[in-house]
Amino acid sequence: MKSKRNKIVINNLSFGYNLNQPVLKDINLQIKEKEIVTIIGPNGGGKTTLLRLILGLLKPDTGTIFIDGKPPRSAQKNIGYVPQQSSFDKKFPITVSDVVLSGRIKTFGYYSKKDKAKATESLEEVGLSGIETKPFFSLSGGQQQRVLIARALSTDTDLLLLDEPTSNVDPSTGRNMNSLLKRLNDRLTIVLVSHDTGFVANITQRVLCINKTVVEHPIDEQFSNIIASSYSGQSMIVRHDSHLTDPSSEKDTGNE
Amino acid sequence: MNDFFAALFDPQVPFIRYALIAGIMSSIPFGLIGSFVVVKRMTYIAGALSHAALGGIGIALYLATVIKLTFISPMTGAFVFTVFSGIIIAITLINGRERPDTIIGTIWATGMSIGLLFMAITPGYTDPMSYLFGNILLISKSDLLMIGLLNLVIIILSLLFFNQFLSIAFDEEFAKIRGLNVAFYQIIIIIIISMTVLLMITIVGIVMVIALLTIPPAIAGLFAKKVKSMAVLSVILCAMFIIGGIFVSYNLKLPTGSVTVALAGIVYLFSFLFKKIIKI
Repeated sequence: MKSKRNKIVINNLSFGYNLNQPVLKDINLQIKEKEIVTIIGPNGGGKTTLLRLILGLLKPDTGTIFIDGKPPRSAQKNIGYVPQQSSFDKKFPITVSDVVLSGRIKTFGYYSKKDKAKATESLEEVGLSGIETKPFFSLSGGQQQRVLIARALSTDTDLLLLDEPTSNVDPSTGRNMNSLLKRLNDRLTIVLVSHDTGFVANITQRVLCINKTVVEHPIDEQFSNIIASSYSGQSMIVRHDSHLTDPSSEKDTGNE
Repeated sequence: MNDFFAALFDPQVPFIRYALIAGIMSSIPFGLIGSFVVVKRMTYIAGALSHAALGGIGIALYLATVIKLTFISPMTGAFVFTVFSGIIIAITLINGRERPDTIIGTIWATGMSIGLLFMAITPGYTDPMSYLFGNILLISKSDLLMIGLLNLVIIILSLLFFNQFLSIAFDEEFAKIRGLNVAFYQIIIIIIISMTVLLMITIVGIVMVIALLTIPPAIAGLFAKKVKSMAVLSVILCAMFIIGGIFVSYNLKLPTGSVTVALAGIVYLFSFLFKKIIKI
C-alpha cells in the first residue's frame, strides 16, 4: 500500500476549561487519509473536548491542530460532523430532507437544485431513500443517526467525525452502522468517538485511548478471531498494553 | 350579531374595519415568528421583550411631554427599548457565561419598573393599563401604515433567512461548523422578535403578547410535521382568533385582547385533548 498523506496532525496539544485543570495534555497524534480511527476513553477523559478542538469550536491553550495542513477554523467547513443523535430536541418539527439539506446551508439564499440532488444522493448512500418527507423524530435512533451521517455526507466532505454513533441503538442497528462506515471508508477518513469498544473494534484500524493524554492500543488480530467466533463476528479485542491514567491524579503515566 | 356586520360596513365607524385589517395583516408575522419562538423555546425571551417595552413607552412619554421632543411616539420608544433589550439578551446567550433565565427575568422586571417610574414623573395622567392590555379598537389610519410597514419588514427578513434560521434552531453547532455566523443570525432573530412583539402590543397589549405569540404555533405544532407548515397553520389560526376576538368582544361588550387570548387558550385545550383522544 502506498504511504498515505496525513489527514489530521496534532502536536503538543493542551487544553483546559480552567487554567489549573488541563483536560487534555501533550496530545500528539496523526491520522492518515482513509483511516478509520476510534477514540475511546472514560467519561470526562476529554474525548468530546478533543473532538470540539478538531472542529474548531474550542481553541487549544498550547500546541497545534492541522487538518489537511490547515488550522481547524479554516478547515471546519470540510469536516463532516455527525453529533450524537440523542442530543437533539425531540419536539423539533423537521423533515428528513430538511435535516439533510441543512448540510448544504450557506450564509445567504435558498437551496439550489444541486443542493437538493446532493441531499437525495447522500440519503441514498446511507440506504434511506424514500423517507424524505417523514418527520425526523419519528424515525428510530439508528435511522436518525444515518440521516445525520447523510447530512454530513451532503457537505462534500472527505472526513467524517462521529460522536458516539452507537449510543441508543440496538445491536442489529449497530451492525448496519458498521457496514455503512466500512463502505464509506472506501473514500473517507473516519474518526469515531465511542465508549462502545465492542462495536468499534470490529471496523476500526486504530484505537486511541484518551484520558487527558493519548495512548494508542494495538488491535490484537489473533485474539480477536477467537472472540469473533464466539460473539458472531461482533467484536475485536483491544489490548490494553498500557494503563490509563487516573483522571484525578496529575501524574502522567501511560505514555511511552 | 347583525349589529356587528352593520358596524363593519358603517362608514361612520371605521375602527372595527381598521382593527380587522390590522389583525389579519399582523397574523402573518405572528404565526411565522411565533413558530420560531416556540420551536426554539424562546417564549420567555419574547415575554421579557414585551414587558421591557413599557420602559421605552415611559421614557418616550417623558421625553415628549417634559423635554418637548414631540416627534418621539410611545411606539418609537418601545421599539428602541425592546431592540436594545433584545440585543443584551442575545449577547448574553451567545457568550453563554450568565444564566439566561436570570438575565431574562431581570430585563422583564426592570424594563417595566423603568416604564412605570417615567410615567410617574411625567406630568398629566397616563394609564399604563392601555399599554398593558392594549386595545385593537384604538388603531388609527396612521397606525395601520406603521403596522403594514413593520409587517413587510418582518416577513421579508424571515422569508429571506428562513433556511438559515431553521438550521441554527435545529443544530446550532453544526450550523457554526458550516460557516454560518450564528451570533449575527441570533441578533437578527431577536430584532425580528422585537418588531413582532411591538406589533402585538398594539393589538393585544404587553401582558398578552406571549399568549398570542405561542398559542397558535403550539396548536399548529400538535399537527404539523415541519416548521413551514406549522407557520402557515399558525397564521391561519392567529387570524381566526383575532377576528373571533373582535366579533365576540363587540357583541358581548368585553375587552378585545382578553377575549382573543381566552379564545386561543380554549382552542388549544380542545386541540390538545383531541390529539390525545385520536392517538388512543
